[in-house]
Amino acid sequence: MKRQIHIDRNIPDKAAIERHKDFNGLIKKHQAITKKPRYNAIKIITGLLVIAVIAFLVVEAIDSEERAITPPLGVEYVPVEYQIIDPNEEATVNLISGTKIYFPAKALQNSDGTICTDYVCIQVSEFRNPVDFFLSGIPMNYDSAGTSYTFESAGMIDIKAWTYNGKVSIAEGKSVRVSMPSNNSDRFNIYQFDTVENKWNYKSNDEMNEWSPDEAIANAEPTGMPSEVYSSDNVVISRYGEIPDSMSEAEALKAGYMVADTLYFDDSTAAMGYSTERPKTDWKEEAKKKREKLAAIESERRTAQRDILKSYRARDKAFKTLLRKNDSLALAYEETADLNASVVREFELKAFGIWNCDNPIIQELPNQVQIAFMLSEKEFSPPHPFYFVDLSKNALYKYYAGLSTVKCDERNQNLFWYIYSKEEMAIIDPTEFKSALLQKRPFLIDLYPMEEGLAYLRSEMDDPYP
Amino acid sequence: MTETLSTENHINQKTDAELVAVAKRDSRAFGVLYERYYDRIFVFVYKRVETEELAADLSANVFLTAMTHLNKYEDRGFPFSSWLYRIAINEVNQFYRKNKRAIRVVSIDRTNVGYMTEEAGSKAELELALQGVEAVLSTLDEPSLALVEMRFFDQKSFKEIGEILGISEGNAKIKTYRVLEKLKMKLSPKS
Repeated sequence: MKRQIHIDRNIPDKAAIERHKDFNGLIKKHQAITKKPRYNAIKIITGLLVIAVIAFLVVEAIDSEERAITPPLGVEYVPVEYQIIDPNEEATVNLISGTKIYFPAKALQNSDGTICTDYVCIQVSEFRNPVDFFLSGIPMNYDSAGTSYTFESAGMIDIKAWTYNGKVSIAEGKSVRVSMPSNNSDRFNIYQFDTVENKWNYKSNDEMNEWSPDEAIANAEPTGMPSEVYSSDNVVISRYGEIPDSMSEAEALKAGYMVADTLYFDDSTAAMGYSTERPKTDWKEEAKKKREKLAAIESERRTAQRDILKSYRARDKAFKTLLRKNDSLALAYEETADLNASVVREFELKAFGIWNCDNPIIQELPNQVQIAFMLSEKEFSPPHPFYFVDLSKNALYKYYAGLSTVKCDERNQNLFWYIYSKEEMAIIDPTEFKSALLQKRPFLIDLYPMEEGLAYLRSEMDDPYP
Repeated sequence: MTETLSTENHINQKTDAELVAVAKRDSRAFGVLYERYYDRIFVFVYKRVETEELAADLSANVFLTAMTHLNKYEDRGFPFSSWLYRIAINEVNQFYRKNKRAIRVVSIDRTNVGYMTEEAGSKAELELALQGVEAVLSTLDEPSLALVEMRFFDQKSFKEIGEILGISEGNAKIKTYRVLEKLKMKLSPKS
């Protein structure tokens, strides 16, 4: 992003700021958001009856669809990664997104309860944004005390593990740790999906840590010192602290204090070797090159993972060599991507399955849009649910024909889509959504070939670490 | 009249936590919090955007968001203002995310640029190469820039930065020093 630096800029004075204050306006906007519409009794009863009938039909449809977790475009569209670990030793599974899964030694057990000692294939699907949630087919709604919420997610994973002898599970008393890079520093809850009851169960809260390639160093509490200073490669180079006034520098050094390496600025820019002109790098081109490099590594990595799986299934020990290749590719990806998410959220799993790092939210958006689908001037109901995403939130809203009031905030970027046919996807892009809403005119829907539509939707999900 | 005045005085004397508790039931009580913090939030936002009008719009969004989500606000021992600043940062980030062509504004002043060197532990009284810092600030990633802005140009304590960003005070310190280290690397003759 381009930056404009203002030096010694005038800040508006108190009187100027005062002119912008409008608490009454704020109250009005707040009331508009929270106001409940008034209806007369007959309308309410008729409405309730209609809603009850529709809701019954929809719930039936939802249940029958979601009970089996059916990915709407088929399982081939669900992203999946495979890695093999030796359960006798501590192991880390590095996912393409930067997420890491830590397995302690001897933490897995076979179906007969014995500790697993064979190589284990870890199969992980990771869902980070609303397009991933859509492709997974996993319900993203949560019911608590009679209220239905939609999950605002910071990441969801589906983990399975198996050996030649069948499925393995996490041994009693052991746990597996998941660590996800994230740019959202809010705390989230952890839920596990119960595939039998078809519902999410609250399990715990996540832990928030600083994003660092070396967590151990980053989270080390300095003893008796206020802070530590790190070199660019994250190695602690000195303890930094307030040296007591009574102590000379020599005494302080002897006592274990170290004076931090200082940040040195000099007037003479030429001597310092940097230019006073803005960098002329074409950042767009650089970013494009970076994306291409990452795509190449990702593709190589997916091939390596497929080879590992093939080799493992064939009981060919060559997979051990391939594992090393996969690890080096993971490292290359991390270095190229220069991951710099602001925090790492961590949580523990006591069982495999589908886990979600979420906060349940209720849509509190000012606008309500009645959706009616028209084709050749005739109303029709799309055969599939339609999906809505307010891009300021990492949440996916799913609607069914018949219950077609979509809540939205026209100030935000809104994306809306549904599966038009096996080959095509119907998408209303954010610009069209906003423009149609403001002009109170019908929305124009673009039809995309499926892959192209998905690529477009993905391009709108620009934060890799929600 | 006397009673009204005394009630107003009374409510003005309430602590933030007490006001939040009242405002959860009666949004009018939020007005005192609005009066108490509007100027600070406005200036905080203004330093990050181009115009007064935009700062006013985003500040209004900050208070609207705060008001709407007040029921979810929990007093975890941090000042209420930290929550407002966090919302303000989110509003600013959201604005730039949605308006990809908008140019992110950074407001710095000479006095506090000098303060930066002292924070890095410098003992020599050196004048900063202001234009160099300007060039470096143009290339910092958003989280690092946010730290530098809050620490050196909003003059917030590490404790407060930690509260705003939802990280520990120690982490805020470590992160800030890392940014300074990065700055140093970028300003060094080798780079």
